[in-house]
Amino acid sequence: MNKSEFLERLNELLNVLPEDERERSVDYYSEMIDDRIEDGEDEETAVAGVGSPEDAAEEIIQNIPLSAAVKRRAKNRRISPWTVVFAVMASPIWLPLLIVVFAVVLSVYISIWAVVISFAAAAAGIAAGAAGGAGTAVIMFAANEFKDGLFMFGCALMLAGITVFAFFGVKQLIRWVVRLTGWTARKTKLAIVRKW
Amino acid sequence: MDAQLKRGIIDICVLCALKSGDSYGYKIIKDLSPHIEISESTLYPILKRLEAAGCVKTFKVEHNGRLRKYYSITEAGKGRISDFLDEWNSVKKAYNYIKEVCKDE
Repeated sequence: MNKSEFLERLNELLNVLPEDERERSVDYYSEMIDDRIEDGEDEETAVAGVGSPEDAAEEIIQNIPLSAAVKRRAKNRRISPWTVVFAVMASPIWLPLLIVVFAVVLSVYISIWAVVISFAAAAAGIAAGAAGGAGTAVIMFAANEFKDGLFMFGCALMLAGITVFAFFGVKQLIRWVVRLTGWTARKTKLAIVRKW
Repeated sequence: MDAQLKRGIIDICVLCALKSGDSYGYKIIKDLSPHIEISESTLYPILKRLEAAGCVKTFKVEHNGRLRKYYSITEAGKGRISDFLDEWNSVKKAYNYIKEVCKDE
């Protein structure tokens, strides 16, 4: 990719932003590429060095406060009084729909966490089983029931082993869900900024 | 480095890069990269944020037939650096304590 292709693509990706903001970003990357070239890199290397236009655009959009983006968009859009009247009149329709959408999204999210919590509870249950088994084994040894005690002790060891695996599994699961949350939040913000 | 922690520190690093004199984007990155991980795409929002907060001022200078944007630190920017240093004295105290407790491990 050469410099003008990069800048053109970046400009295109930032078309959701106001003109001055867009120009500023493009100027910045143009200067960066020029300075790299001046430092001895060839054009291709310099362009590759500043990263992809997609990443650049994402970073720029992500760092615009959501409130500012919404406010600016709202200001630029002409809303006629009739639109407002219509929006108010139609609120018995769209308000419940909005609430439903929100409730569905929320319940899906809660369900995901519920699955994680149930796995964690299962892991805790197995751990409790291991502890209980070990305790019972000690009591059986004390009561001279050696064979049964040994069997109990083996069961406790096995459960303890499963607990270790379950613990790492649950930890990884939580990490995935947290990452998914962050990813969804970022994408939602992008969608809002773009749509306005 | 933790993202939240880095966000706080990197702003100060950029301000420090301007302390010894006005500078431009590419030079700021070159000056800072031995000390902290920074790239073109991360620097841009930082400069924008610092400018909006009044910590830096910008001006354009012609260079090789094109305009280059220079950044210079303001009094407010210098204030941010000294606030950071003051704040980190208490962080360092806590760090020393933690290190002292954990030194045998």
